[in-house]
Amino acid sequence: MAEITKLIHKYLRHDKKFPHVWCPGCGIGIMLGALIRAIDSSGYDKDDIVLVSGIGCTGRLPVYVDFNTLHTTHGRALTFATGIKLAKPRLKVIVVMGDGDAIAIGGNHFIHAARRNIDLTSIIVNNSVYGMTGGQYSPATPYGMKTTTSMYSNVEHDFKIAELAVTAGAAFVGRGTVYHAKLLDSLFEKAFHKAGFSVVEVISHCHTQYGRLNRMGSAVEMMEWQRDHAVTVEKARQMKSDELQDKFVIGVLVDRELPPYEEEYEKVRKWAKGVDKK
Amino acid sequence: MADKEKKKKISQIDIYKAWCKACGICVAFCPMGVLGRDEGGYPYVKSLEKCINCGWCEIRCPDFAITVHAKKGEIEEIRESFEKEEEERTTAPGE
Repeated sequence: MAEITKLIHKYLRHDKKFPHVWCPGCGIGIMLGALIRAIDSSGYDKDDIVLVSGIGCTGRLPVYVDFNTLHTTHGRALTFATGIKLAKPRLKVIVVMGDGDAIAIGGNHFIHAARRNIDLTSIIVNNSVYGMTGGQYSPATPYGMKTTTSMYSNVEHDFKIAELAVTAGAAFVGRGTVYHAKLLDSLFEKAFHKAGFSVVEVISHCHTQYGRLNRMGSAVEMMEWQRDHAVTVEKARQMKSDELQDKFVIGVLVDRELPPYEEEYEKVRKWAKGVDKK
Repeated sequence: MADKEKKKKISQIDIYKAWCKACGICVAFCPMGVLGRDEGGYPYVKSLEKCINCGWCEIRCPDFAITVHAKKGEIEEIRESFEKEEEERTTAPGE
């Protein structure tokens, strides 16, 4: 067995049902591979990682991996993760969410976790649609696209998740696609090492629901679409705004030094105890 | 010269059909066209000699169902077993 797959098998729970539940060609599987490779190369112990997820296709992810895992209610993954981090700050808490989980029902939690700058790594798999429940439109569905609840056309405009995180005040924001799987490895690694709230948006595809209705083809064709529409940060700087109209930027969008919430809160505890004086 | 050496290294590709869902990603994104699809859509190794051992099929497989690695030559295998024996000899218990 080759090295990469050997490594992935080290972190899988083989007593769970394999092959996994996702559709043939789903990007979440590719992202799971990248996540495992990044955790391994960062040198964390299995017991030091907590993987938290909400509901949806992405919510199934912690079931398959052998870390401390938590499968929570819809949209509340970040709140549970905040509790874990504040109770046990030595743990590395990674939150895996879908677009519905992170910016629809958990949208408020997301912007406020970013604003507080809690030391969490949140990974958001954006497949533009509510895949598991039948392909309804989500806040990440682009304007003019068909879904099962917008059969004529979606008249709402979509959230740009990474840009939203930048504005909300996250310390690290990156964006990758499942086509650029090796870029995901490096983005995840950088996000793990960052003290503070770090966000990695993973552009994925839902060819079963979204792709079929919009005639975007199979998983392969949707990954080719990602390849053709992704522009790196360096290249985007040299391009004009009208050239970037139907493109999205991948790479590290923001990497800034901000004091994490736990450190600040520790100060408050010391003031309250009278150890330090304000 | 370097090209010749590269070509000499034969890869080994393993496909676990039990985990494969026949999505076709490995076949579509192979830069050298090594893999083909059978009637069921499952991948099979069409022309192994073209493989450059880049590993993209393994990285992009959502189901962890394909592996690729350079096959070891006979000399390398002998050397490895020799090194292993040496190691066992030098770290023998009870000394």
